[in-house]
Amino acid sequence: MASSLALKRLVSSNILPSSLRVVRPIVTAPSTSRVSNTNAAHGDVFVPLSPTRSPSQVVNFRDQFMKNPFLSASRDMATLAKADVKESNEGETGERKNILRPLSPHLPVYKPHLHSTLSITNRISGAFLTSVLVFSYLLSLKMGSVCLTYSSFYQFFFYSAKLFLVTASVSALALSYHTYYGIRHLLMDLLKMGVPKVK
Amino acid sequence: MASSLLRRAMNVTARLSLSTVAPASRLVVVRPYSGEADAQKVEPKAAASTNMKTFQIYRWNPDNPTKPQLQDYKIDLKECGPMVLDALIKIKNEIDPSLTFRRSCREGICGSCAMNINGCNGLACLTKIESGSSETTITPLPHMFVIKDLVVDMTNFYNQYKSIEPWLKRKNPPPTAGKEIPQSKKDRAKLDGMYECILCACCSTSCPSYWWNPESYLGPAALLHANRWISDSRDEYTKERLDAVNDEYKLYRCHTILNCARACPKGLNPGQQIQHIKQLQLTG
Repeated sequence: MASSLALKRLVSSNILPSSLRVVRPIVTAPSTSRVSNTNAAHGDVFVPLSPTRSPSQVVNFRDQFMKNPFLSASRDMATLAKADVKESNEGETGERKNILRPLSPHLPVYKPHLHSTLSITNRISGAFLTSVLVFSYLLSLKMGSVCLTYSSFYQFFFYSAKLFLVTASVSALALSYHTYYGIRHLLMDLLKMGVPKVK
Repeated sequence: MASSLLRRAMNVTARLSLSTVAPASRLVVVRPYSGEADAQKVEPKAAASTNMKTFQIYRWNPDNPTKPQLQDYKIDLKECGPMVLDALIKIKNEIDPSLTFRRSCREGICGSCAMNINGCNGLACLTKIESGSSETTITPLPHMFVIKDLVVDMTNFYNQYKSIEPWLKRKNPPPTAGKEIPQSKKDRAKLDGMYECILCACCSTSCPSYWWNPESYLGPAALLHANRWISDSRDEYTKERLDAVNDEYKLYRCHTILNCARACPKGLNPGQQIQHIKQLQLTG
């Protein structure tokens, strides 16, 4: 308690240079730190203490902030620590905190390469073709009944008729790419063609 | 401020009296500190020619759990070794001792310092620092639970390696009792490209399929080792090993994305080994 008061006085005074009063999104809830890491934009809230913090946590805080002006530019790393976060019990002088570990960044960080791009394009083309197929089935078979009951649908289809040609050409592209990739996959599997050298 | 004035005074006197000043004094580095705040202030462009590079490093502290952040560090490349691990050690020694990362051999054989450097997985001790003024971004291995800063939890990865039973299994005793099981040079050559794996996890953590199914898909590293034991002529449990992997998830989550071959710091091709297993499943 006394240490928290002392630290409060230290922070509010001008002993620490202003460059160290860095903006940092800080979780204020003490032990149940279920950090919702899904891009919750905490504002520039500088809350050094809450009365329920233990002295050791306060010491850690002070050590971090005493560090150095190299904290000049620190960016957020939004991680996806949703449902599959792990719990780890950190025994700290009898106080057990359940800390949820974050997941290290994957998609935002990893550099795309040629083969990974080809593979994901194959998947996207497949998904696109499936959606076009399903939608065109619905369109052609159900259009009559839908348009007779709901007039706004008829208006929508009238005005978007030009899109059909565009969709047809894009789906032709997707179909050809998907077929070529599928044949390549088949050849790799059956003919023992071998996986292409990547490096 | 006082320290910089003193330093400038030292430099001026040294340049003025080159002949009279003893040469040894020029080598002495004097660092007068008036206070801790003063000592922390290091001017980055103090020397005549510096080659500053910014490193953005992923930081997360379990003792103070906030959102993970990218922290910037500027170091002088002229006073640093060529590899990323040299830069990390220099940052830990001189700038921020709380930076946490795994490292051991510093020569690319232990696999401890695997991390994501500029978007590609690799060993920090084998990845050269890119010259040029662009920033280097260092994050831990992708889609793994972070223990602290650049250290990730590898338990699942090691368990998957254990699950393929990476040891020699035989039904019959060796042909000459008490002696080693003979293997021809051709059969030994079949293991080339697989035995060199150091289990650094660069390949598995670069595979998007492994990201989305980390517990059910074995990953390129474990499958590479599975193929190593399947292809070993001394091992007699080939059929059982193939059946153990012949699962919709364990093997067939591989869609030949081939990020693994790109990431491997030892130059191995796990995708090719997985393809070999798939072909064996077809034929045998």
